[in-house]
This record gives sequence, C-alpha cells and structure tokens, in this order.
Amino acid sequence: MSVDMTQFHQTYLEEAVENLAELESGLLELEKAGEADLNAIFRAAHSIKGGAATFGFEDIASFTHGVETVLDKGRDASLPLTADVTATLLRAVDVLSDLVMAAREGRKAQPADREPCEQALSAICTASVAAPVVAEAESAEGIEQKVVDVLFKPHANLPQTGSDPLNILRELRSLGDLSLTAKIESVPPLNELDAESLFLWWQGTLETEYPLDDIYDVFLFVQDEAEIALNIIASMTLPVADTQRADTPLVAEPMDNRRAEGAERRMADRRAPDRPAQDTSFIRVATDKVDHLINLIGELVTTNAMVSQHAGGVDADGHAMLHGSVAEMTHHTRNLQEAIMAIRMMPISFAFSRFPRMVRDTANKLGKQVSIQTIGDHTELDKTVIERIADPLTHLVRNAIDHGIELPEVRIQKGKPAEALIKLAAYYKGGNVMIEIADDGKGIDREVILQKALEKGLAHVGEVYTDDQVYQFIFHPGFSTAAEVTDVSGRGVGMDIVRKNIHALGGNITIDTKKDQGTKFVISLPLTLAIVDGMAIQVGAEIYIVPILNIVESIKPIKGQVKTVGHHAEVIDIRGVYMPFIRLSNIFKTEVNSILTQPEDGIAIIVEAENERVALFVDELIGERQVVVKSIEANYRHIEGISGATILGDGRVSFIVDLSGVIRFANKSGLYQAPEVTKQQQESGHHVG
Amino acid sequence: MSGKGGLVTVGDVQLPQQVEGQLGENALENQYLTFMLADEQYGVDILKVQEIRGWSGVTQIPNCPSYIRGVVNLRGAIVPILDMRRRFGMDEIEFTQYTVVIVVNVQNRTVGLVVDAVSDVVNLNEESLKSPPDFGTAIDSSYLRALAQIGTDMLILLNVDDMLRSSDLLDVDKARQVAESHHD
Repeated sequence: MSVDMTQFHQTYLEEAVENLAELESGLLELEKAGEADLNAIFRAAHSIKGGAATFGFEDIASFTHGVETVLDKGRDASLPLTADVTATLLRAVDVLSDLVMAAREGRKAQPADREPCEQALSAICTASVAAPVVAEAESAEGIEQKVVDVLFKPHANLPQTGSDPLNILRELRSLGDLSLTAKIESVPPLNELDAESLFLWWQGTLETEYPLDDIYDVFLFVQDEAEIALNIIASMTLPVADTQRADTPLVAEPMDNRRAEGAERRMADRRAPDRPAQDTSFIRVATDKVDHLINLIGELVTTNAMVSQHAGGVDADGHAMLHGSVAEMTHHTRNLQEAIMAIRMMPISFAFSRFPRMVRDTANKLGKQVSIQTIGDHTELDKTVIERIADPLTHLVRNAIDHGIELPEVRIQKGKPAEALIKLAAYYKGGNVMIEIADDGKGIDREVILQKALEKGLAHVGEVYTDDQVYQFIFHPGFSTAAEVTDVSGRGVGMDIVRKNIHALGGNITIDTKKDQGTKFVISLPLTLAIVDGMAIQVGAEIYIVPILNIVESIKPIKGQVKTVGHHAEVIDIRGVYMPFIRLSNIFKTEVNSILTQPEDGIAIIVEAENERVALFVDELIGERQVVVKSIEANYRHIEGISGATILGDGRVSFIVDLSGVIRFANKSGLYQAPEVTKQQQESGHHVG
Repeated sequence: MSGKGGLVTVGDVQLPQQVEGQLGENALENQYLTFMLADEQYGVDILKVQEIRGWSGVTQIPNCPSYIRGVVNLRGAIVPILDMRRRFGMDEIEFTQYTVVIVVNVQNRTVGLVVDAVSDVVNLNEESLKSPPDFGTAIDSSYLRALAQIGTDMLILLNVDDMLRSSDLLDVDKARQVAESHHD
C-alpha cells in the first residue's frame, strides 16, 4: 500500500514556517539574553529536518542537518554559542525560509547564500572539533559511556500514523551497541491478526556514549504513540583525554536512582511544551472555507433583516409569538455572525513578530543600537487587515530606524541612552484597533518640512499652518523621493503609499512628534473589512451607506449658511469654519436623482477623509446600520466614489460611499476647488482647525 | 428604484437538452435562446444563459451609461443589468414585473439583459449562419455574431462576450484580458 505523500506537503510546509518562526525567535532571544531554551530551538530544527526527509524535500533536510549539528553541539555545550555563531544560524534560518518558500510555491530554487552559509556552519563545527571547548556542565566530566535500559512499547496504532518502528530501531543502533529483544506475547493468532496494527514491543540495552537526550530524540516523533522508558543502569566517565587509555578500569556504577528520576521528569517536561497543539486542539482550515462561511452568514444576516422587516408589518397584538420568534432569531443570527467573524481574527503578533529580526538587521547595517518593545501582541483583528497592514508597518519601523533614530554617539551627546527604543503597541479603542509606532529619535523638524512644502508649492507663503497640517505634508506624494528625505531629517519615503494603504483599509494615520524626543505614528484600523458600521442616507431614489468612522457630525443647514465661491463651488459655515459643501447628487448622477435645491431642505453630514473635512449634502438620514460588504468588481467594474455594495433589509442593493474617492472626484470635476477656498478663508481671516 | 423589492422568477423555462446521439450527427449544431426586442428577434448561445428572471427594479449606478440600468441582488451577488433596448438605441418601453431579464454568465461574470420577451430555443447549424454585412458607422456591429434564417424571419445572433467588452462593464485591464482570452 503506498500513501500519496504529496497531500501532506502543504501541511508540512505550513508547519515548517511555524517551526522556522520558533527557531528564529529562539535564536534572537539567545542573541539578546545570552541564553534560551536550546532544546526548544533544537526541536524546531529537528522537526523541520525530520519532516523534510519524510516528505522528500532533500534540499531542506540536508541543509537543516547542518543547522541541527551546530545546535546540537551548542546544546551539549561542546560549542559555545557566541554572537558569531548565532548570527550564522540566523543567516541559515533565512536560507531555510527561502528553501521552504520555494517548496511552497513548487519551484526549485537555490538561495544564493546557501553554499557560503553551509560552509560557515561546517566551519563552526570543525572549529569546535579542533579545539573542543570544555564547558562547565556535564561534558566537563568527559565522555560518559553508559548502558541504558531501553523499553519501546509502541501502541498498536503506530503503523497507522505513518511511523515505521524499524526506522527507529535502526537509528537507535547507530547510536551504539544495541541489544534488543522483540516481545511477541501480545501477537494474536493469525486469523485475528490486523495487518495494520503493531503487536510487538522491544526491550533491551544500548551501550552508548551519547547523552540521554540524544536517545530521546530518536523517539521524538513517536513519543505520543508509544510507551518509552530509558534508564541508565550503568555509566562510567572517561576523561576526555583518556578515552583511549586501556588501563583505565571500567567501573560500573550501580544505577543512579536520582539520575533516572531526573531523566523521567525531563521526559515528562518534554511532552508538555512540545505538543501544545494536542492540549488546546487546533485544526487547520483552508481560508476559503472560512470565507465561504462569512459569505453565508452575510446572506443570513440579510435574510434575517428581511424577515424582521416583513414581520414588522404584521399586527403586533395578534402575532406576539411571531414577533418574539423573530427577535430571538435576530439575536441568534447576530451571535452566529460574531462567532464566525471571530474565526478570521488573528492576534497582531502575526504582524509584530517579524520586527525583532528586522530591527536587529537594519540597526546593525546602519551602525545603530535599537531595541524593540511590543505591547498588546494579543490584540486581534481580521486576517486580511493584518496581512495588508504588515507592509505599511514595516515601512514605518524601517523609516524610524533609518531616519528617526540617531547614531549612538549623537544620542549620548544629547543625553539619551545609546540604545534607542522602538515601541509597537496595539489596543482597542471603540470599534477600532489602534496601532502605535513610537521611536525616541530626533523627531521631525517642523521648519524643514514647511520649507520643503513651500518649495514644492504645497504650502503658501504668509499662511499660518498648524503643526498637524505641516506634518500632513509628509504624506504628500511629492515628498517621497530619497534625495529630499536626507535633507528633511527623514520620513517621507513612500509615506504617501503608507497612507494610501491605510486609507484603503478604511483606516487613518496621524503623527505626533517632538524635536529630539521622538516621533509617534498612530494608525486606527477597522476590526474587519467584511462588515462596515455605516449611516444609511438617501439621495434621490437611492440609499447609500457612509462609513460611521468618517462621520464627524450631521447638521440641518439653516438659510444662508451655505455660500457660493466663484460660480459653482459652495462652502458651508460651520461655527466659523468654511468647509467645502459637496452635493452628493452632483457626484453620484443617476436618472432618478435628488430634486432638492435648497440646503435647508436636506442634511449636511460633516465627514473627515484625506485629512480634510467636507460637508456632504444629502436628502435625508435614514439610520445607522451594520452592513456586510460585497464586491461590485466581481461582476462589474470599479465605480468612482464607491468602495463596495451591500444588501439592505428589503433585498435592495445599496452602495457604500468611498469618501476619499468622492473628495477626489469633486476636486477633479471642478465642483469644488480646495485651494481657492483656502485663499478665501485667508481673506476672511479663518484658519481650518 | 422602481417597482417593488424582491426578485420575481418567471416560472421555470424549460430549456431543451441536447438529445444524445444527435451530437454525433450534427456536431456543428448549436442551441440558441431567442428573445424579442421591439419587432426584432435576437439569439444568444444557450450555454451562456444561467437563468431567466422577472424585472424587479434595480439600484442605479452613479455616472454610468444609461443602458446600464443598475445592479440587483442575485442571491447575494451584485449583478449589473443591461437594458438591451437602450443598448441598441431603440424606443423605450415601460418595464413591468413581466419584463424578462436573461441572466448570462460570461468570463466568470454574471450580467442581466433586459429584453421584451423570451421566445424560443432553436437549433442552428453553424453552416447556415451568415456573417453580418458591414454596417459601416451606422451601428456598432462588433457584437453581432451572425444572422440566421428561421422560416421567413431573421434571427440576429449576439456575441455576448464582445457585447460585455464594449459595454463599459469591465475595468480597462480586465476588458483587455477578456479580449485576449477571446482571441486565443
């Protein structure tokens, strides 16, 4: 019977990615603190190697072997894990993740660094052999020759897990002089024999110089499917230099109970942290299955709204039961929706975890000393949001190191610690997740930015700008070329892209900076992209949804509050501040459009987008609702000013307004010219706050 | 939004299946769903037709050509609806709930076509199809696939892929993809 192994490849590779992450974080900890759980690090490497060999990824297996060898030597203290060694190991992790990525994408690739890295690894090993470092621990005693009592009693179902006990026995034999007896008592009569079960078990002795841990490692992959006991029944220590001396009497010690107990306990310890998955029981589910669930619940929410609406039309007195049931159904539907949405939620540590390594590498390259602190790693948000925020975050962190943080000497001169600190924090605020990226570097120089903005024609001489307005210039595309960045105390490389990405997620970004104290970026993001909290508004025959996140307030204009500028641009006076007054019916032209002409007949919604406040003129506010976002592009094209669609309670389609798009569209179509009004404001002595 | 909410399905239209055995003899014979627009008879490849529904009103799309009436909710999917009379520059008629929408599936996209009425399913031999004459600039003939004779009537066969491409339904790059895959 041959098993098609390819079906497990994806799972193995997923696991390899996780093991790599564990390997990397362990090594970073080792580098930083000088110590770490070497067993855990070794296990991660060992799992990668073992799986790779099983599933035929020879490249990965052979390369990991080199890594494992170094780690193994580090673990038994025959090789000091110096910073150099750790750095090489980290390099190896990079090569390894390239290999794993290549395997995931089904291509054969040889990372350029593979050979040099392999050579570096073997150089480390050779060096350690040539000049064995006698470390403080056990190996100080020399090589310990011992006789171990081995009991290996696999569960009957071991063959079904894909493990071959013979391989284990063979590997065991490679460790030393093995003498085992197969126990056949439990083998049933032939007619009752199940060919796929194992009835044999083994007991015997192994004479070896390997430490007990190495022997346990042989059983690493079967330890949950077998009863395993290893007891040292005799051991003798040969001083390192004396191993060859024949006349050293071999004194067999009686079995050291304390030691054996220690080994037992270690075995127990190993089990617990090694396979946490078995306790908390995770399952791997393909993302499209979850997406399908989300679509289905979206339908259910819509249908539920329809039922509620229809039930609302039924006489409440005569049909109390109906109303009760509908209310209950609504309640359950909402719970179900929340539960399903929760499946997609992932802790932000998935995005944060890449930073320690990146900060280390970037800082080393630039000769800076930077440490990173993350707060709120467990804050959860939608998987899609995490995936799409990772790059902007990376950009901000890299910028902070590159341009924000000073060289150690400069920092000391300024009276700051040589090592800079980058703080990444995530927390909930309202229905949003906030992410802060703060550094304690030199901050952004307001004057330099303003100067640059004047040169670029973004700012105008004689105008007064608030700090916030000045810092917003950083996000302007014109600020994003490298040459200017060095002039402008950094910040600005692709900042427009960062802001664009965050806006695309329905989020926002603000800056807070103080000279020589540092810079803090605060990003606010929606918890999920699948659902939008929106205000339903009516324009003409249609209902649109405006994201609540963007709404500042809604007012009913009074006569004379809206004034015209030039021929057709309009502004509204909100407590002394003039804002563009955009009639949504002019932006969204439809056949059955709004017939309102007088501002006082409709509603002005003050919204904030693109760092601008504008008033949207609509016919009517209908009410707040949570809507499930649907794609328009699946069957149609992108619509300017519209970010998506949703289905209302009555089954009608309603469009979700993309405010940035609306403002851009309004500016482009000349319905409202922002700079002209700014001048107008200047003349009338108002500043936009 | 005109008409009442909720979509009305116009019964089950029986779409005759290709009879087995027939395939061998008439390998070049295809089936077409025919429909009326004013007094003209049109046909579309039946394999592109997903379903037939009643007109139930749409949500208007801002700033789009007038022949795109809007979008509807088709079991959770947002589907654009094309008014075929407007598309061909014909006189308009009042839509009622008996007005028919043919939902076609092209290049993994679903689009509804509003027509006056569905008439029939016909078998046509590929050899009997005649290429349409060149109308010059008189009308856009790029989506006319062929003309066919049924008795004394003329049937105008539409190429829905091309019509979709020239109807401002796709983003520019997607339209190009469709065009390329179509020419392959």
